[in-house]
Amino acid sequence: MPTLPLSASNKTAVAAAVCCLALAAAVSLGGCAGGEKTLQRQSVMEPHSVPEDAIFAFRINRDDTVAFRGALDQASAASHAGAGMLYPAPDPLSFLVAVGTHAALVSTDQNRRLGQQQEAANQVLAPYRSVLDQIGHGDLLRAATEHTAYPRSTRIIEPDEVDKASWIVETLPVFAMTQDQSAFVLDNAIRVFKPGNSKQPAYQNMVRVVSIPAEGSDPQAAWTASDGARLKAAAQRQFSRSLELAIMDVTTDLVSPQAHKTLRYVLGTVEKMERGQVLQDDCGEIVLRTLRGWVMSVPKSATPDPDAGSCISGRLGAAQ
Amino acid sequence: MMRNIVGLLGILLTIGAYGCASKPQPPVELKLSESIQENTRIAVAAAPLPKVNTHFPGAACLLCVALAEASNTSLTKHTQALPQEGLPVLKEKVATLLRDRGADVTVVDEPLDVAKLPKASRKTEQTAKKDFSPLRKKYAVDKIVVLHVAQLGIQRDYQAYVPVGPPRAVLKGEGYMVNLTDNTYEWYEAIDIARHAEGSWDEPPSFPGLSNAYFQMLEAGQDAYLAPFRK
Repeated sequence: MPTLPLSASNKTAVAAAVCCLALAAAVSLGGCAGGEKTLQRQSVMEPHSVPEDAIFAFRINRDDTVAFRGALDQASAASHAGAGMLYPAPDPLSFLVAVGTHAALVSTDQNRRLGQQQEAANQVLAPYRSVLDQIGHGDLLRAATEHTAYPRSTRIIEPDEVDKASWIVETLPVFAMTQDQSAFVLDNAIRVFKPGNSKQPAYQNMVRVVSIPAEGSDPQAAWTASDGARLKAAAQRQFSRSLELAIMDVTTDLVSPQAHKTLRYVLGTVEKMERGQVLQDDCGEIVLRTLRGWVMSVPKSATPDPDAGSCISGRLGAAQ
Repeated sequence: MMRNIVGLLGILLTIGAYGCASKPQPPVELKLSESIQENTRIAVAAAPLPKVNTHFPGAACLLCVALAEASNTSLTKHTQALPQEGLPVLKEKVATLLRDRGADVTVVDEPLDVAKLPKASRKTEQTAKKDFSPLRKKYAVDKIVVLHVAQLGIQRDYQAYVPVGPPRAVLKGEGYMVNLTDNTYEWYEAIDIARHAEGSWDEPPSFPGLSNAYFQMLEAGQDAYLAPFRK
């Protein structure tokens, strides 16, 4: 292979470029890129490609435990710069190792701090632990199939059950309680597999459902009364709605003619915002498609819509 | 001898740098009912909006800057395409709130380049740094509200070569009202809004998490400029 003669200035430029590349590699190896990827909507399905006679089989998770955690306001959490570092540079290699070490230390420190913040946020769940331990994934699925009308037939299957005729739906719900204890946010990671293909999901997405804030000045008393009846009902309602929205996203061409906008909604006693396209706006609820492609349901106001019951009945009637 | 001269120069430079750093303007709370009365003649102006861009404070040396820019090219390209949504019409929103209180409002169409105004001789902390008094005649008003966005986009902090945190959406600026009869602030507020992406941020090419944070920050920033006039 022929080589071009390099002038002194070219050699300097090449050396600088190599140094930059090596530095970039050292910083990247330090793991400062931001950790685990957040789920984005992925679908290989054509709209309206699920046959009318299709059956959705909701699979119970092998571990029946449902995850609950304290909500952490990561979006507005402050980042803290760590201490500075002097790079010992007797030679270029030592310098690169020092930069890589610095990057690794910074990354470890960030992860440790996030872990501590999440641990502190989880303390909010302490008074509810006995109620939360009673909520199982199977129970949520059974309630969701009993009380919700879907545009296709549904059934529940056991963790190891083989069903090659149905569209398999796997769900991984995570509930987060706000720090003021007035509301829950459900993030339900959903995967849908075409019949006979249990390896590659045809659809995967996150469905987020934000609850209406608890009424009254003592949310803890309200949630835990009658052995946590209200908390259990709220969890079931949110889970059912998340499945309903997921199936709607899978079976219909859920697109919005509206432009993207920044929507404001209430999460507990705090105003939050989300950028997206509004898909539905009725029954006291706004459903939007977020920038990650998630389907998100938020309450239209902090108080329940008095007409929501009849509105939802009408919506179910139209779906059947 | 040479070493002594270099040392002396270093000390002088350090003193110079600290000496030139101006003291930050303390906030001045807007007393709305006193400042804005029926038929108060007031102009609302906005400084030229900055380009939406990425910023890497802490990447201090030339090689550090080059590395920070090189390792964030995809993020920079995306950031520069984000809109300034809402900010170009912010002065109209302020004007509407002032008109609701009965003020006689003039919206200054052209961007106000405050840097071109003459420097004021400051008598008190409440005196504006620039002399706004020529604007009294120009716009036929007694007061002026100035909305200044100094930085807009995504910021990632560095320590030399190493990023020390995830990037975040940032809006920095200031909002103030100057009484043109005595060139004093009747309102001054530094605005500093930041929002992080929820979950991971490194999602090229569309960076949905950081983009969401950017739009949240834009809304929160506009709220911060408008809040004093909504009391």
